[in-house]
Amino acid sequence: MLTTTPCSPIPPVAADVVAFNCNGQQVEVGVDTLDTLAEVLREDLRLTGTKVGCGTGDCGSCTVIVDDQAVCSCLVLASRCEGRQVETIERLADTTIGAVVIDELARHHGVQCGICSPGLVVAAARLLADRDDLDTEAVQTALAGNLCRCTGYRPIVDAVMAASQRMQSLER
Amino acid sequence: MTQPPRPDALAKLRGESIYTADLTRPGMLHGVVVRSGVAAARIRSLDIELGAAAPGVVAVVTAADLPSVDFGLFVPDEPLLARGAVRYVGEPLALIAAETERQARAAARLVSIDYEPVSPILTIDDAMDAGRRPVLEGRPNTTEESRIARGDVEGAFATAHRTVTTEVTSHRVHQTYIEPKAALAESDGELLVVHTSSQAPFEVRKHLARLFDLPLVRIVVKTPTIGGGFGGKLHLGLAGYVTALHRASGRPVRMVSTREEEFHSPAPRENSKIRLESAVDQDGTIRARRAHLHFDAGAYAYDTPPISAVGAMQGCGPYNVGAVEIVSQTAYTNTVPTGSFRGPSGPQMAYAVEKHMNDIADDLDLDPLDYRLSVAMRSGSTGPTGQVIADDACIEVLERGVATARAWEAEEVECGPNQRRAVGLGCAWWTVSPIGGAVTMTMNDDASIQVHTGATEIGTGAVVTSLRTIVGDVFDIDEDRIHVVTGGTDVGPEDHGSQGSRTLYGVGTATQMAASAMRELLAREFARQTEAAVEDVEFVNGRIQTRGVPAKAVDIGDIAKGLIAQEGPLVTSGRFQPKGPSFDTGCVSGWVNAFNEPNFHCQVVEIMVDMRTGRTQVSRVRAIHDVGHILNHAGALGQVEGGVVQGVGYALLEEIQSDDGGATTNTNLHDYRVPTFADAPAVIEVDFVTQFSTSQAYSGAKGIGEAPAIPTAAAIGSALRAAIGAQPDELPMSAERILEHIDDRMGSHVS
Repeated sequence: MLTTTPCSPIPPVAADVVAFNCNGQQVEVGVDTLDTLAEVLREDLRLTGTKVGCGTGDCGSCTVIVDDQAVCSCLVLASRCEGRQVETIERLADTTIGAVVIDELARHHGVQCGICSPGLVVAAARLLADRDDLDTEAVQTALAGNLCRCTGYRPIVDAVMAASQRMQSLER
Repeated sequence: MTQPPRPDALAKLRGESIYTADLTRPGMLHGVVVRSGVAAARIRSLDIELGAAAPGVVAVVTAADLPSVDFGLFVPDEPLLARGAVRYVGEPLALIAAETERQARAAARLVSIDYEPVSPILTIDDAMDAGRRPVLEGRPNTTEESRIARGDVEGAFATAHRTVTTEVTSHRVHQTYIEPKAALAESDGELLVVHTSSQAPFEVRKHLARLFDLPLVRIVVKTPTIGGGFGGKLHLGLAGYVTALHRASGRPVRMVSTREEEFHSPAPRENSKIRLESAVDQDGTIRARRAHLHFDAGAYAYDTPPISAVGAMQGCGPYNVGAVEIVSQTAYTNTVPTGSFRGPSGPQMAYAVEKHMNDIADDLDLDPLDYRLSVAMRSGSTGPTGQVIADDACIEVLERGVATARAWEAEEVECGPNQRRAVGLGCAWWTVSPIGGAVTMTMNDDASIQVHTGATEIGTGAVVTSLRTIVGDVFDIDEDRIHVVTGGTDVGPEDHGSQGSRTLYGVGTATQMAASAMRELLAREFARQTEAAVEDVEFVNGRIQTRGVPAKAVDIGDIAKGLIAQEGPLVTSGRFQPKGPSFDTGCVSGWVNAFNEPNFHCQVVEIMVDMRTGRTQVSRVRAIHDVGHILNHAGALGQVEGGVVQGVGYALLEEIQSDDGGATTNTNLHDYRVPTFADAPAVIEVDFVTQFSTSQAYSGAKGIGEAPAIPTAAAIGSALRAAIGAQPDELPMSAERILEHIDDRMGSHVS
C-alpha cells in the first residue's frame, strides 16, 4: 500500500525589490528569492523575446547578456541582478552586431520554428564581439550550448561565419 | 541561392513572434497538473483539501468534477484526469489554478493520494504474457492492428534455398521541440477560446467538444507561433486542462509544461520489437517474408493503431518480395503513451529491414549494395498489399546512393590512431498522407490576395512560404501581394494538421485549385471585355493580356475592381481529396492498407568509430530524396538537413530511459542527449530526385517533412557493420553498446 503524504510546503520566500539596468533603462522589480531572471524579464517586464526551453541551462533559448557576459537567464536568480546591466534580444536586435547576425540568419535560412532564434542571436552577437578569428569549428564549439531541433545547424554556422566576416569588414 | 528569407524570419529572430507562453491576460491564473508518481495502481482516495486551501489557489479540478468521458483520436480510451486508477507515471490526477505558478506548484505538493499499487506491465514482453493483468480493463495487452497475407508463404519457406531471420529491438525517443507545450483558455462572449501550441487545432477542437459537451462552433482553437512539433503536438496537449480550470474558475488560465513534465507526458516515439524472416533463393530473390511486429503504445492508444499498420507496410522495405505474411500488433504497457514522431515506425522499420538485407547478403555471400539493386522496387513492382509501383524512383535513388557509397569507400581518408572509418547505406520508402485539404481565397480590388487556410505553420515554411509561392506562380505576381491567413480553427476550412508530410501536397493542391478558379473568373471577364478567346488570355507580371498583344495588357486590379462592382466580392475555394492507390483489398486488414504516392529515400553516411570508447561520429552524409517537384528550395533543404540530424540523434545519442518502477529517469536536456552543433555531421550533401511526379498533386510535389529522418539509423548501422564486423540488433547504437560489440569481436585487444 503506497500513500503519498503532503510534503512540508516550501517555506515562504523572502520578497525583495531589485533594481538593475535593463536594455538601457533603470528598472525596479519586486521579486521572490527563487524568481529567475528569465521569469522576471518575461512576466514582470513583459520582455517575452527571451524564451524558456528547459529551465536547466541546457538549451540556451533564454540567453541574455549580464554585465557583458552571455548567460542562461533561467539559471540566474533575479535577486542577484542588483546594480547589474542586463541586455536582452529586444535591445540587441538593434545593435550593429545584432542586426548583422539577424540579417545573415534570415538570408541563410537559419530560422524554422524560431524558438531558439533569439537565444542564438544573443549568443552569436556576444561571440562576434569577443572574437574575430572564428572558423566553423570554433563557431560550433562556442554555440554548442544553444540547441536547435529544426535546422540541423549548418545554415546557422554559415550565417554566423558570414556575419563575422561582415563585421570585420565594417570595422576596417 | 537567392531565395528571399521567409516572411516570418525577422519577427522570430528579433524575439517579436508570439508563442503561447508569451501570452498574458488580465486576471490570468496559472495552472499546473498533479501527476501520478506510480505506474499502475487503483486510487483509493485523492485528498485535495490542503491543496485547495494553499495560498493563492483559486480552483482545483479532479475527475469527480468532470463528465466520465474518455477521448482519443483513434480509440477513445483515455480520461482527461485519472478516474479510479492510474496507468503510467506522470498520468494527470488533478489540476490546480493559482495566482502564480509558484503557488500552484506548491499547492500541488499538498495533494495527497492513497494508491493501491499493482504490478506494472513495463515491457512489450510483459504485454505479450497472456497471464498478466490488463493495463486497461476489458482490453487485452496486445491487439492486432494490421495483417497482410498474400501468396504462398508456407510453400516458399518449405522450398527455400535459405531462411534468414533478423530480430531488432528499438527504443523510445522524444520529439524534444524546444518550445515546451503550452495553452491558455479564456472566454470571448459565448465562445471558448483556447490558444495552444498545436500542430492540429481542429483535432484539439474535436476533443474539447467531446470532453466538455460543446458544439464545435462554440470552440475556437488558436495557434500562436509554434516552436516545433515533429508529431508530439498532434494531440490534445494541455488544452483540456486549461479549459477545465477556466470553467472552474471563471478566469483565463495559462499552463506551460516544464521540460521535466515533457518527459512524463504523451507522446514520444514508441519502442518496438521487430522480427523478420525471409525465404530466399541462392541469388537473393526473396520468395517470401514473414514479419511479426510489436509497437508499444504505453497506457493509451493515441496513434499506435495506425502507426502499427504503417509499420506493417514497411515490412518488406523498398524491395521486391514474393509472398508476404505480416502481422503488426499494438502492445499496451503502464508507461507514458507513445505517438507520432516524424515518420512514425519509419526509423526502426528501416533499420530492421536494412539489417535484414545485410544479414541475407552475408548469409548468401552477396555484395550488400549489388544485392539491394537486384531486388529493389521498380516500375511494375508490387508492394506488400499489391499496389503497383508506378515508376523507377526507387532504382534511381538507390543507384545514386550505391555510386556514392562506392566512391566514398574508395577514398583514402585519414583517421585518428584509434579510429576506424566506414561507409554505409540505408534505403527506405515512405508515403504522403492521403487526407486532402481545402482553402478559400479572396482577391482585393488592388489584386492582392488572401488565402484562408485551417492548416498550421509549425516551422517548416510550408504554410507561410510555399502556399504563397503557389499562388504567385498561378498569377505571375510577386509573393508579397499574397497573404496567408492561418493560425486557428476560425480563419479557414478544417484541416487535418501538419503531419504525414501532407501540407504542400494536400493544402498546396487545394490552394492551386482555388487560385486557378480565381484566375478563370478574371480571364473570362478580360476575354469578355476584349472579345478575345479565354484560351488566349495570359497573366504576365501582374497584368492580364491576350497572348501576343502585350501593348493592350491591363493590371489585374482593374479587372478585379470591375468584377467586384458587378458581381460582388471575389471569392473562390479549392477542395482536394486524393484518390488512394489500388491494391489487393482481400490480402490486408488494418488501418493503413497501401502507401499513397510512394516515395523513395536513400542516405549514405561516413562514420568514425573510436575503437577504445565506442563513440561514433557521423562525419559526412549524402541524402538522396525522391521529392517530385521543389517549390521552396530552402524549405526542402531545411527539412532534409534537420531530419538527418534528428536521424543521427535517434541512431546514436537519444534514448528515453526509465527505472524499475516505470518512471522516466533522464528528464532534462543534459541527460537526454539531443544533437548539438558539435554532433551535426560536418557535411550533409543533399541530392533531390525530381523527375518522378505524384499522380495528382499540384506540380507533382511529394512531401519531404518526414522522410529525411527515416533511413539515417539504417545507414549508420550498415556503416558500423563494415567498421567493426557486427551490427547491433538493439537501438540506439550507443557508445557502450558499440564497445560491447567491439570487445566481443576482438577480445579486449584493440588494433
